[in-house]
Formats: sequence, C-alpha cells, structure tokens
Amino acid sequence: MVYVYAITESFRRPTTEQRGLKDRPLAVEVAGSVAAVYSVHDCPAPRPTADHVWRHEQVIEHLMTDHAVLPARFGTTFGDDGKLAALLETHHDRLLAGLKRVRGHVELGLRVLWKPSEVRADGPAEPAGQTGHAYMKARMAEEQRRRVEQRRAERLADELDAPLVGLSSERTRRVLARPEVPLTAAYLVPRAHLDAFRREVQRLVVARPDVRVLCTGPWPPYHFVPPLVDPAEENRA
Amino acid sequence: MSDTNLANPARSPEEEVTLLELLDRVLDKGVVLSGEVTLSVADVDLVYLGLRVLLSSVDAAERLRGGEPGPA
Repeated sequence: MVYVYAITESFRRPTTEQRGLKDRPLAVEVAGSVAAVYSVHDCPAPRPTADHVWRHEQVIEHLMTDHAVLPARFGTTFGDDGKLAALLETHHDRLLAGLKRVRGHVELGLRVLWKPSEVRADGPAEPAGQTGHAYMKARMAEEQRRRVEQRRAERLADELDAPLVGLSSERTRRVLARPEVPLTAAYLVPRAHLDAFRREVQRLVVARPDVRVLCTGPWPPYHFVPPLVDPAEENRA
Repeated sequence: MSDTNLANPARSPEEEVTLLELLDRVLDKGVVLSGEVTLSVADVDLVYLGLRVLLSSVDAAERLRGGEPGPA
C-alpha cells in the first residue's frame, strides 16, 4: 500500500531526515515537473489518530521548507505506485498550476467564537403546536431571529476579515457555520506578510474583546489546492 | 473517538486547539488524487464533535496567552 503525503515540485532525492507514518522511509514518484511524496506500507490504511495525523503534517511541513507543496488529504492511498504515477501524469498540468499558485505562501487560519444571541427579534415565541397559527407564528419568529443572527455574523465577519484579506493573496471563509462560530476563514498569505498578518490579528483581538479570535498556522495550503476529483465521486467508506 | 484522543487530559488547551484545527484540514481539505480516501464518515464527524472541546479550551488558552492569539 502506497500512502501519499503531498504533491510537490519535481525532485529525485528523497529526504532521509524525515520519516513517514510508522517511521517508514519517504520515497518520491516523479512525473514531469511534479512529484508525489509517499511511503510504502504492508498494513491496511492508517486510522486518523492524533499521532498519525501529526506525522502526516510533519512530513508536509518538512517538505515546505524547500518546496512549494500541495498537501494530500489524510488517508490518500494506492495499491501500488503505478497507479500513483498514472494519476500524476493525468493531472500534471493542473497540479503544476496549483504549485505555482501556492509557491512562497503559507496558510493561516482564523476561527472566531461568540456567544450566540438569545434575544428574539420580536419577543418570545409562542409555544409551538397549540394551533396551526401559533405554530406558524413561532416558525416565522424563529426564521426572523435566524436572519438577524446571520446579518450580525456577516457584519462581524466583514469587519474582521477586511484587513486580513488585504494581506493575503486569497481567502476562503464560512459565516455562521455553527451558532457559536460566526467566522471560520483560511488565508493564503505570502511569507513576507506573515508578521504583518499576525500584528493585524492582534489588533483585532484588542479592538473586539466581545469575541474570541483564534489564529493558527502557518499551515500548508490545505484550503488552496486544485480540485482534481468530482466531489460527487469522492468515495468515503 | 478514543483513537483521536481529542479529550486527552495530558494535552494542553493550546495543543487541543491546534489538533482540532489540524484535523479539520487533513481530514476534509487537501488534494484528493482519486476516490480512494480511506476514511469513515464517523472519523470526519469527530472534528465537529470536538468543537465543544475547542470551545471549552478557549478560556484556558486565553489565560495561558494573556488574551493574545498567534500561531498555535
């Protein structure tokens, strides 16, 4: 079983300083200008334990010190390296473009937490189920509350997001993915802007003591990889 | 859930926050070279169940940092 960690620029000499999962040596499959870094295992595919995901991440971060990297999703395996080589050739140009996109960049993550609003837009909702009218009125009140909360989250997201977007090449975000999380975002930041980005986050923390701001990274560019497989075809067991 | 040790008391709040952020990336993002991503839906759901750990860790993490963010 071949376990893949990342796609990177073509190089032939695998690192001996970093080992893969279960301390297996790393190998490189080259196809034109791109390469896949992998390790070979006899056992079944690894489970996503804390140790395994950290080792997966360590391999990628080690590669990032010298190469542009597209991190592979955890659990990307092949029966043999022949299949891997074929896929690299199939997706060569798209992978090469993806590497160019992320070269010189790192990913920074932002997660903002707040206390969800408990104030209803038009006062307490009537108990549902007593009459059809009461039920619909309660549903409408709930929907109005939801929309008010959505707008509140979007205003906060725009306020916190704008200065960080200015320091990034790209950004992806989700607003109000959960009631407690008004903003989750990932930023593709040029390495030269890293310190300025962190200072800006610190400024936002001071400016908005009513919310909690968690900034993590630098990460490999997990959110900024090219799509290769139709999402409908992704096979999760 | 025990395999991912999301609630490992030996791990600091900062380490738990970082692990959750890492899980969110490696399990749901990154290049998918083929359909053979060998994960179960339950494994991915653990990330979002772990959000409650994240929320409870925020206060502790802030106390440790003095209210400052920065890379975890």
